[in-house]
Amino acid sequence: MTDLLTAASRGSRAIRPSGGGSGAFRLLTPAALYYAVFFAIPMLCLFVLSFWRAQGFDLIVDFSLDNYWKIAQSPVYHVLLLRTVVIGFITALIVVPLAFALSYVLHFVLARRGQIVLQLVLLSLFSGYLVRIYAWRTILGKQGLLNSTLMWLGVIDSPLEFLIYSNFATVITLTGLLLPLAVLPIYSSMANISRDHLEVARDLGSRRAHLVRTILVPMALPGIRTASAFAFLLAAGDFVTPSLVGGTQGIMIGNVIADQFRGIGSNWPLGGAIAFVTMALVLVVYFAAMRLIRWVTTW
Amino acid sequence: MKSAVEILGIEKRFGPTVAIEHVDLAIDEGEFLSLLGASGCGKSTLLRIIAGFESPTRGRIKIQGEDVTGWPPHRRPSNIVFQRGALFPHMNVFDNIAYSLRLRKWPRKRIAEKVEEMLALVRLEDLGHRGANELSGGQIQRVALARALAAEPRVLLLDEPLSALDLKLREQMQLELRTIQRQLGATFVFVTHDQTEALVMSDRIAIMNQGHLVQLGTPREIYTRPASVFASAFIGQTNLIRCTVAAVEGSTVTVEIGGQRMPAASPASLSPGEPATLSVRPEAVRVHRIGPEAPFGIDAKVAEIIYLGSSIRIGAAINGDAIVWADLRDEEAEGLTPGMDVRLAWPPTAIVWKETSK
Ligand SMILES: Nc1ncnc2c1ncn2[C@@H]1O[C@H](COP(=O)(O)OP(=O)(O)O)[C@@H](O)[C@H]1O
Ligand SMILES: [Mg+2]
Repeated sequence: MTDLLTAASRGSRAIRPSGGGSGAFRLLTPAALYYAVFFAIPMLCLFVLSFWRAQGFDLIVDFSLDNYWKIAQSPVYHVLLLRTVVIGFITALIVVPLAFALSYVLHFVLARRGQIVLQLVLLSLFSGYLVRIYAWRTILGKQGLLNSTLMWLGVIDSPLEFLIYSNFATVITLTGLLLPLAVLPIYSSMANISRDHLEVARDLGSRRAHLVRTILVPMALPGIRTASAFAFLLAAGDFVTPSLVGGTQGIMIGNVIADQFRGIGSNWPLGGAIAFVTMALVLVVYFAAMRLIRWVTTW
Repeated sequence: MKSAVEILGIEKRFGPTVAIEHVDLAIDEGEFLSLLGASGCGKSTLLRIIAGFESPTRGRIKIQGEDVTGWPPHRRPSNIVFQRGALFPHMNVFDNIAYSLRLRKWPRKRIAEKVEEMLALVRLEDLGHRGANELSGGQIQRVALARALAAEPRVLLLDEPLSALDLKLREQMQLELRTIQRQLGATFVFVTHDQTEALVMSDRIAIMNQGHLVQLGTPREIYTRPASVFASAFIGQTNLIRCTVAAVEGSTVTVEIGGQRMPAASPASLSPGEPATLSVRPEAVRVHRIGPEAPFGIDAKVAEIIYLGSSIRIGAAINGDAIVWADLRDEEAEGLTPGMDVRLAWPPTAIVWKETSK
């Protein structure tokens, strides 16, 4: 979401100096219209809603900060928000380096054969989101693939309990879900790095960590940024994965937000408020992390 | 003289492909040496073996007397410049040039001085702040050169660094590169497929063909005393005329071309009756009108007259068949017309090769 927004603003910045005024504006109209209808207007509605009140099944128009106050007051939300950000962050921290390493192997080691592997990765996305979560459940479950294999090998005597219905299970499953999505942008920005670039750097004395920090990461940065956005924002916003593999102690803020919009005890204004607090928090963490990457990779 | 690089019995195979087949070559300190050959003959592979990007299947590499075979590129006192520059696009010109110096943790001030010095050397004084993506082709190669030279290599390796540039710029940069090399007194190993470029720039040229080193010598040696038909055809332009050996006396051979006889020199032993190839450069061929003062030579008929600006190229057919090209000055070609009978003559130093020799 964020990435699309920044892409749009970057686009407008790029067009303005050459186009000048109305011409550029006309070019942007379809995109602007799209964001207005499918993003800005719904968000605005939700934002307005977050200042209303719910009474039974009725919504009462108001301008009150009650909902935000409630969130600020109750530790349960703090725990959930913290867990959400931490799980999102850890997932991104695993997914992005993995995707980076995978892209490196696809581009530089497998070279042309890497394209085929990439197609397979893409194909795996077609199997669908829920199917893949259930697949992870059968791997991580008490009698799942991993536990039975380990027991058969005699590594463990009884099934490892933490493998399923835990934060661990959530992180692993999200990693599996998001890895293909993160490989795509990193792989495509790595296509700009040629063997010559790496060889020149090595020839000039660079090696391993230094090479990664001064050449590979900065040159693949646009892809890394998009992949980080995918991994972190989608992991932090997911509520299906925690409800299926996260267990009773594993629910995330997304589950609570979803609950506010359906069934008995729903509270749309409160749901809107939680959603906005979450979004603000997630964006702050995301931009801070991007600053950090930039700072670490200056040569 | 001490050798900067010694290539000792190097052989390189890529699976079934033989890229280099037993090459021995010693490159002198402060020398500008060109590796010259057609595309695919193994020039880049040899250069990459010196740089340490490829390991040889057999043989050893020494740089300044030290055996560096098996050393990784970053440990070798050599640096490389590629055909496409390969500048780091996320850095500006200054940062590109300073790359190896920052890595060596030079103090800031010394880095700035060194980069300034390099920029002046490649004549890009005011471009330090320019992004690597905002440069022309020639500027890219200059920055790539400056970046490699900033690392203070003992040997600079250049893999066709000028071949992506257009002719005018290429000719200008050939001279500049040569000047820079003289100024620094550094050893340059320069890969090219362009024989003119090799002639213009080099102290010595190593001609390669299909993984072999076929001749090593100064431009003059290579031009005037090619060691094979291949070398004579590859360097400059030459007439290759099919002939038959008529008589042999020591190193002087008499050959028969279309029933007429001419003396020639032969580096190989030939026997009478053997088919052979005569190589003679167009500028060595003289064209005379038939008459009492016409010297000994081969009779032919003018077939083509081509105006080349600084000279005129005459194509003469022997027995209406083999065309021999001659480059004449304006006044020498005066009065020649197509269809005219002429006599071709050339010095007896023209070389005859065995039919089968490469
Ligand atoms: N990495 C490689 N793998 C397989 N074959 C290679 C490789 N590099 C070069 N070759 C082969 O070795 C031969 C020489 O190549 P190269 O040294 O690049 O020639 P040049 O630079 O003279 O054009 C060619 O036949 C080429 O196909
Ligand atoms: Mg080459």
